[in-house]
Amino acid sequence: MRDAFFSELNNLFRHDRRVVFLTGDLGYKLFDQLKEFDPARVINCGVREAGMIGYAAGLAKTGMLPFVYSITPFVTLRCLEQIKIDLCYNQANVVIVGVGGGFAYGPNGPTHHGIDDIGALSCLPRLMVWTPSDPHEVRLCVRAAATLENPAYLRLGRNKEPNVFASLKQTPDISEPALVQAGSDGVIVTSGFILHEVLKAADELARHGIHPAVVRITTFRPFPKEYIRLLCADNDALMTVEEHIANGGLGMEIARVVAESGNGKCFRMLTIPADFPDACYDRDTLLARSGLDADSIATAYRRLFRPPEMAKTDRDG
Amino acid sequence: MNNPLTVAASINLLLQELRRDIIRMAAHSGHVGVALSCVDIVAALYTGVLNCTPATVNHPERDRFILSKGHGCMALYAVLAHRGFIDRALLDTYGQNGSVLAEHPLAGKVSGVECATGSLGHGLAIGAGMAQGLKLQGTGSRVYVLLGDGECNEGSVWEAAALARAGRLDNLVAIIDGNGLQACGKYDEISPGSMLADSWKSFGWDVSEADGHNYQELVTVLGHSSNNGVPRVILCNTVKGKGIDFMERDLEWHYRPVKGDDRDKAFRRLNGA
Repeated sequence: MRDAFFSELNNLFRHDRRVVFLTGDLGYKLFDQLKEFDPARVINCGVREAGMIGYAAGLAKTGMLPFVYSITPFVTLRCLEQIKIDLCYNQANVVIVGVGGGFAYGPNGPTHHGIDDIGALSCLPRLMVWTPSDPHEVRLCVRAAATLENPAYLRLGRNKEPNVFASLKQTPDISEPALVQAGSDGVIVTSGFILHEVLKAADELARHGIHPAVVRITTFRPFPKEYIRLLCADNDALMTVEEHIANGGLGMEIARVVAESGNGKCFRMLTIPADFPDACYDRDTLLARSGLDADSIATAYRRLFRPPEMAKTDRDG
Repeated sequence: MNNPLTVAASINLLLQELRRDIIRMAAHSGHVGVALSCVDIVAALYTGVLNCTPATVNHPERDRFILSKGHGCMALYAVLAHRGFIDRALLDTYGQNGSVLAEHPLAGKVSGVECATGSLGHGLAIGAGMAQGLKLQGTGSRVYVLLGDGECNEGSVWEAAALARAGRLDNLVAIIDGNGLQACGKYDEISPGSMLADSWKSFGWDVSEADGHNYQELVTVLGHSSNNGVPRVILCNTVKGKGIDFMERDLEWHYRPVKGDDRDKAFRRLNGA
């Protein structure tokens, strides 16, 4: 996702002279191409995230289109008030790019995990939040940035995410929720690059004769409330999966819609527990320990769709 | 033509008039001492320095002013009204329900207010980004940012100071309203041993000092332009509550609305009694 971001940014940078790239001293060698093309529009702000956001706001106020780049927690929670006041309240159209959303920086420890970014940023009016699920969608987000009417946050993984949409004929529209896989046995809704775990889980479920639909949401703010309202109208099984804690995330947002609809007999949300890990772990291990690897997702959905007592009755019948 | 004595007299009248406006607004809120300490600086900017008028308030090549110490906004509102950016009658709505003149400047509501401020330590980085954007676009416009000395407690001020120096932003001028009093004590007591002039120098800025209540000196020093790639800071010596003797250097007037006998007394002082 990171390479896709820089590749697409390079395209935009060459054609749109408003684009300025600011980094909090991260992305070694990744922005060399930009610098070669126009060094005046590439600014290493140093390790000064709060200052960088304000600086970007000022640039935007003169008509430029700044992208600010750092590791997720540093460019979100570290400078949250600058995002709120300088970007959202003062309406400065800046794209905040957080690399390493979720557990992407696993072994680097909790200082580098981006598992509360969406929740914190979701408190802020006007901010658009993009959680692309594969490198191709990252490119679509960067292209969409050229016509922004509000500031935006782009949540990247690192560089190992598979191209989920490469095999699809149709390019997904990032502005709308999309049906990634059709199914007749309820639905799993997800957001971000954990989509590939969800698809693996769906394969596993299919082997057990359960075929949930899979929906991904890439534009998380503004939240597609109406789509979810229609989705839960038939009161079928609905499970959410996100690489984020519960607060302010996908599951809570959907739970609210489900609760207000009066449906939700069969609803479950999978999230990261709000806690600090006790030791050093890589992303796969952290996902497994959080119940968010493909196996855990499949097991959770099986229990939701076919509760144990019902499964027993089926056998007895 | 302009007789210097007449000009000086009319400037004094203007500064008195602005102070009357501030006292009127201050019936509804605190921060009167803050507004009185920075009003001469804001007046000097808008009447003698800034290339920005109501007619050019949205022009891309206008000079910009950011009141980073947003709680001094009564001074800004009074000056904006005097210069015709906003209707003078608006001043009477200050701090009232439904008014666009809040106790810290709102975003996008008041002609002449470049951005909302109120949380300290935001304005300089925004101003620096603006100065950078103006340079990228090849305009000669300048950006002025007014900060409090207490505001320089904020770490983000120093992030912005370093960014501006790295960006060689000689079109950026920071102005410090150095009244020496913060919200709950003296600057020197809260940050003992901290010398602001030395701090700015150590960040590579061009540092000058000025009497923050001397109009002519302010116009001269603020209007000075340079193209040496170094941002400038003007440390202004000011008095919190300046112009109304019983408010001067008294922390009480950081908070107290000006009502009743205080208000009458303040107006009498401004009328020379």
